Parts: sequence; C-alpha cells; structure tokens
Amino acid sequence: MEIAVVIIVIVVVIAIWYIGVSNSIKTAELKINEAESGIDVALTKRYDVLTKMLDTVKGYQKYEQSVLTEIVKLRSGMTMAEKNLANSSMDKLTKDINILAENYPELRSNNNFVELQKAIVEVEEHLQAARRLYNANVNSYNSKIIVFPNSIVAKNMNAVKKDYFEAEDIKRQDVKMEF
Amino acid sequence: MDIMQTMNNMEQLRKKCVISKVAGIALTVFGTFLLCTMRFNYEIVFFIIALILMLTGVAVMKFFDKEKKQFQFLYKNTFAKGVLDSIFSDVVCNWEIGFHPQQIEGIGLIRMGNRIHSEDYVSGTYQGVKFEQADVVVKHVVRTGKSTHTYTYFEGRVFSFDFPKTDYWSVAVFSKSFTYSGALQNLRHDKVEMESKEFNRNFIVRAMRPVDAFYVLKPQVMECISNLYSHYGNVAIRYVGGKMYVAINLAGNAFDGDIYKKIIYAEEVDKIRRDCSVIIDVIQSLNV
Repeated sequence: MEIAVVIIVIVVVIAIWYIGVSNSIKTAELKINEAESGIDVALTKRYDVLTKMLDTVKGYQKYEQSVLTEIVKLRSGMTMAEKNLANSSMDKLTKDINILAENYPELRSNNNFVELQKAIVEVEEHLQAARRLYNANVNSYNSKIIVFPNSIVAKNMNAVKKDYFEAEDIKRQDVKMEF
Repeated sequence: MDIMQTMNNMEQLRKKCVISKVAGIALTVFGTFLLCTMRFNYEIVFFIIALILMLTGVAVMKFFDKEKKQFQFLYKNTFAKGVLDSIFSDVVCNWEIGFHPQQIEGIGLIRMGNRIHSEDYVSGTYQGVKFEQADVVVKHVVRTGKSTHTYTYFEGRVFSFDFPKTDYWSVAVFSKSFTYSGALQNLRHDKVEMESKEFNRNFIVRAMRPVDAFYVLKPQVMECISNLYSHYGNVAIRYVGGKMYVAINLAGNAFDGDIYKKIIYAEEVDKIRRDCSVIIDVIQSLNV
C-alpha cells in the first residue's frame, strides 16, 4: 500500500514537472514567433523605404530592375536563413545608395531623399531592436531545450534548436546588387 | 551686495545655525535628564525649571530650522544659481517648489507614500536638450495604535529630459536595489530579459511591448545605465511619451550647503558642479 502511494506521488510529481517544462518550451516558442513577426514587419518597412529611395535615385543613375525583384524573391522565402539573406541584400543596397549619394550633391540636397535617409535609419533601428529581441528569445529557448532533463521533454515535443537572425558575411557577398 | 559680503552674511548665519542647534539639543537633553532623574520629594520648582529648559530647547530648535532655511536659500542663490547659469542655458530655479505629487505619481518610478515633499526645482537646456529636476522625498507613515513607523520610499533627485524618439510605448528600468519601485501608472508592463546576463543581474526591465525595450536600450545605452548604476547606486529610468525620466535615490538633497562646514568659495562651487554633473552625465551618456 505504502509503495503504491510513493509510486503515485512520484508519477504525479513527474507529470507536473513534465507539464511545467512543456509549457515553458511552448511559451518560449510563442515568444520567438512573436519576435519573428516583428522582424517581418521591420523588413517589410525597410523594403518599402528602399523602394521609395530607389525611385528617387532612378533619375540620377540608371539601375537594373533586377535589384528590386531580387529582394522581392528573397522576401518571399519564409525561413530565417532567407530572411537573413534578404536583410543582407538590403544592407548592400543601402550602402550602394549612400555611395551614389556621395557622388551626386544634388541628390544629397533633395528633400525627399534626405527624408528617406532619415526614415531608413529609423527603420533600421527598429529592425535592429526586433533582431535583438528575436535572438534573445532564441537564446533562451535553445538553452532551455538542450539542458538536461528538459532535453527529454523537448525531444518528445520535437523541439529543435532555432536559427539566430544575423547577417552572414559569406551570404552577403553572394548577393550581387548593381545599379 | 558683493560676493564677499554675501559670504560673510552666510558665514554668520551658518554659525548662528550651529550655535542654535547645539544649544537647542543641550537644553532639551538637560531638561529631559532633570525630569527623568527627579524624585517625587523634590520641590516643584525643579520640575518647573526642567520643563522650562525643555521648552526653551524646543523653541531654539525651531529657531534653528528657520535660520537653516534662510541659510540654504542664500546659499543656493549665491552658489547654485551662478554655477547653473554658467553650465546650462535658459535656467529657471525655484528652491521652494519641486514636482507636483501627481507628476511624481505619473512618472511611475517611485512607490507613492502618504508624505510627499519636493523642492529645488531647476529647469534648463544642455546641448539642446531640455531638462527639469527636483529633489523628491517620499515617505510612508504607518500608525499602528501604540507605535508609528516611517518608511522612506525615496529620497533623492528626479530628472525629466526631452527624449528625441517617440516611436515606442513605455519602457522602465529599475536597478535591483531600487526597493520601492512605482506602479508604472497601472499599465501592464511585462518583464523583459535583455541579451546581457550582466545587465539582467543588476536591473529589472519592464515594457508594454518587449521590442520597445530593445529599441530604446541599445547596447551602448545599457552600458551607460550600468555606469550610472555603479556611480550613483539606486537608479530607475522610464521612457514614455517623448520623455526620459530618471530617479536617483541618493539619500540626500542637491544644491544644499553643509551648515557644519566653513564656507570656502572654491569648494562650494566644486560641490555644486558635482551636483550639476549628474544632469550632464545623463544627457551625455544616455544619448538623449
């Protein structure tokens, strides 16, 4: 009788622990998803501002239409690696536009362009914040699922390590953006 | 009135303050001692003498308070105003008033008690950034029949700075030693874990939207907040509605003179400059 009670208590304790860990992993995953949607919003905003910037720049130098479509293609991908790549492409595009502006003083004095430059800085700050939040959540989640005995629950839930959102230099070089 | 004359006046006032305080304490203590050690068979005249001594002591202490107030007012107008004008522009000082209790409650950083006092209001501009500051004391007095307990929730300085960014909701940072934190205007603020373990060890970050915490608390800002914390101790910061509020629990008042120390012009100016440096530190380090 006593042994049965002890076994029941142990089973209940394990069940409570399992539910607790499982809930905390689900909550962490939910936070990652929320943060990821923040990245999507910031990337979309950045894309919109860059589109406007390219329209303004158009009058100063001819550029290939493929510049935009390439970004669009990259944005259609849903994985974090592809988002990273899209972000890298936009980094490169921003840099190219700034180099172009250096060569055209009249572009630098164009009010619309100046406003867009301010907007892009603001959008990039938001993207940076979304990226840091996402990475902080991913870090917390990854640590949670690899630590024993949480890893047993994580394995049963098929929880796998998530990718960080960070620009990778090699991939950035792969994307060719030209005016 | 030239500065030498003002300083002489201040020195006289200071001495008067010290004498009246020492005399007040001595009379009160002596009177109390007489009352406590008196036997019942002593004559009534001793009782009256002891009572007179005590009452005189209390009256002298009251006189001390009045003199001290006068000294501080003269001190602030002589030293603080001049130094503030030399460092900041558009300086407005009002030593009698500070932030309104409702304003302090609205900032949401400090737990509200039932005794709120604020004075030494100063506003001005530094490097194009507008600021306001005041000394704030928040106490909570609890009477439980026989005894009375006074809890000091906050005794320090509260600053308000114009913050150029507005694209966020509300973010608050409390150092863990900031025991009596405020209610953040009863708005729902979730706890946010930043990516820096060191920062999380020393601070509690709360935000209405977690992403806003990462937006305003950039790595260099986090580093600067850590520096402020290591320099000033209990610190709380809130970003809301285009303003940045900073509460530093210094357990003391800014711009006040020390009545127990002889006034030396250069030293007093240095002291006021140190009090002003908090404002400069915040503006320069927190990128406002």
